Amino acid sequence: MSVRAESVRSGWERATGPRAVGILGIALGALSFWLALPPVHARNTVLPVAVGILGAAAGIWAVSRRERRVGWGAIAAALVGIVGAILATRSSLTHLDIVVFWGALVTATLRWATPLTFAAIGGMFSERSGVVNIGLEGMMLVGAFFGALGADKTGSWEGGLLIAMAAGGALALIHAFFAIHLRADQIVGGTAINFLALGITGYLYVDVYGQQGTPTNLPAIPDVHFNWLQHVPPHQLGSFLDNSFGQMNLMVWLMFPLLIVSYIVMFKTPIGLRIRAVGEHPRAADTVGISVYAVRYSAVVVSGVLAALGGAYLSIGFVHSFSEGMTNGRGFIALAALIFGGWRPFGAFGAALLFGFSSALALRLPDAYGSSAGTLFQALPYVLTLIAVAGVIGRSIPPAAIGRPYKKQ
Amino acid sequence: MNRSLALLGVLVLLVAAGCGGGKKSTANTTTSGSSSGKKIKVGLVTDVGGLNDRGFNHLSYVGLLRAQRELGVGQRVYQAKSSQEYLPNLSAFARGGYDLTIGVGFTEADAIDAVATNFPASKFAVVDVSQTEEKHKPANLLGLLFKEQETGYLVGYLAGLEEKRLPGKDIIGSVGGQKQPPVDRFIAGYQAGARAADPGITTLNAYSEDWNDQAKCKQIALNQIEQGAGVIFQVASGCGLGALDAAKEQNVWGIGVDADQSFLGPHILTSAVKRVDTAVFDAIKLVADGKFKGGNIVFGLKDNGVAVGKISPKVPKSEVAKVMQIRADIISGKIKNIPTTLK
Repeated sequence: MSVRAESVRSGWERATGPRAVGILGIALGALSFWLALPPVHARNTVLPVAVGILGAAAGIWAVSRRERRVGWGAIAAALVGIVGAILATRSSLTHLDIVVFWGALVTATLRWATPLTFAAIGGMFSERSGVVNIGLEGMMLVGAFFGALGADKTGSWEGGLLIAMAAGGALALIHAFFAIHLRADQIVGGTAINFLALGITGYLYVDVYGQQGTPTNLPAIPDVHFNWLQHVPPHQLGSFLDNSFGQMNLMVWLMFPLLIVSYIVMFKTPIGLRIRAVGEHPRAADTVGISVYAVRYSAVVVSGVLAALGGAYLSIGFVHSFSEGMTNGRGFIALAALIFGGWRPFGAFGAALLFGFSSALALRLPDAYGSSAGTLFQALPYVLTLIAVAGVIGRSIPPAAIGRPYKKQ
Repeated sequence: MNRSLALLGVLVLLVAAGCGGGKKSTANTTTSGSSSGKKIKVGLVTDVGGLNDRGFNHLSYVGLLRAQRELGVGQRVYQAKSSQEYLPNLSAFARGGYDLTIGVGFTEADAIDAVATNFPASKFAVVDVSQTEEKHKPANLLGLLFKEQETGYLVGYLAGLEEKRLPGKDIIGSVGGQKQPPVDRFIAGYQAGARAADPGITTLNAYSEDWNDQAKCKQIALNQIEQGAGVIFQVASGCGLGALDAAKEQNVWGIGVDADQSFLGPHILTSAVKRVDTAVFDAIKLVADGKFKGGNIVFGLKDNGVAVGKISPKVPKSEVAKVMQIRADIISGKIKNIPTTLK
């Protein structure tokens, strides 16, 4: 028996193991719903239900093999898929086509996920180094305001982004000083940061722009156009790609390299190792000569810079003006995305996508199914998030030293 | 111990600075002289849209400033950041001995009903709320109402004419902030007007359930434009500015609300103007003249309480003339029974 044969067999076992089967069950559950939607449009419930039952069976098998979490996730996904598919086959085709226009849904999802992802990645740096950053919301807001102010005063969106980053970093520095040097309670400090940001931006906004609001010709972060996408054969795929990715803001595209870079930095470089060491066991890190304070300070400042970029995307990338409190809780959602993404870049991105998708869907559903139920649909992102957190993701484990100030000996 | 105390002190300062910054922007006290003997004090409580919504709340402030200038009244504004703040803000004015407390917006209906009932000796006015439909019908409350359907009908009629003239499917959209009577009056009039101009037209409507978050309104407007809407009418205060930004980005017409929003750019077809400033000024003047009494005042096209804003110069003259004809017909009573509710 060679080592190679052993590893091949364990690979095969992994592929047929309860965990893999459970994941397959989740996929089948999603597939059963998808079959009833455009462009497939199964008008008959038999096929989606059959696929869904298959998914549920896979889930039950996984549960019986002690893979409880994924198994139950598969069963839940299958049930949601079957119910969704039955509902979809009952509703008219025109309604479905209005709501489920995949290209528009994809682009709206990415648009909503972008500010969340920037802030969540920022939060990851701070929290991985052991500093809770509940002030993300405030840092985003400051980024949104100073992005607009900077773009206005310098006359270029690049200037706006730079000033937003500087402002976010400065606000984060205050948080870092309180959390690290003064060893304040980090939740309280972060909350103070949020109030401070609300106050600063609100005051300066009225002071600078008065009743007029930000100028209508504010320099904007440009959109990136890919006209060639619509010529991709076959035609259906081409128009889907064009509607999805043909016209997206530069910041949306920048999100992808940011994800990759932050993953590499955090998990493949000595810098990342130091950040994580400081967040897991600062004393041990200190004994081997890592400066806990320096690492934490820089990690928190980076988090402020990234959160501010997310805020600047909102003001000068998407809506092209600033209004008071315009982040509207997105910093907190980013924090939630970070936590149930397990403090990992792609996990956080996935969570942000889920939230973005359900927000995009919630804004489309009333078009077909009556605007009076709009309030109900608006709860969708939160409900889906709850299901995802409670059902599929399970408990995520935070960095060991998170929220605990470090005192040098 | 000392250190943590110092820390606590600094934190408190920081929070205070944060709140203080917010307050500073929310409160304006003025002590300009008055011509009459006893100076009248007026308090204004905005809804969550805030003074910078470039519309509704902003206009109420404009009316207040005019009263300060022309009638010499003292004024103070509280901006509510959430609907929980209406009650304390309104009570604070009543308790502070203000001669008139003005609430802005339908969302303050319950709060002002409660406060007016609790302070029967103080005077209250409220924009967009009918005094007779309040639970306690307080006799010291004046409701300032508008016939939004009339201006909605006019801008809708123009939207219908434009859709008929321009190529493509005839579809128009509207983005409301919340399903409320004043919002629905605008939109019901808009849809009826568009159908009068172009009977085959399709109307889309959605609510953002938000008055501030521009991103939401923009996304809703983008959805409607993608479904073929060539005109977007926003009735969502600060949030609605996002809907107009979507119209700008996608090269379709946008229609402003409350204030004349033509300054936003050449993509603004026109605006459904609602003279909240006039209403607020009139209410203050009633108090100054000693003629204030509870009830309702309804402002319409006839008395210039609602109006159609500046029409884009790109619109053909003949269409403008038609709209003006419709306006005359509404005032003369030839066109009546404009719907005020949406199904």
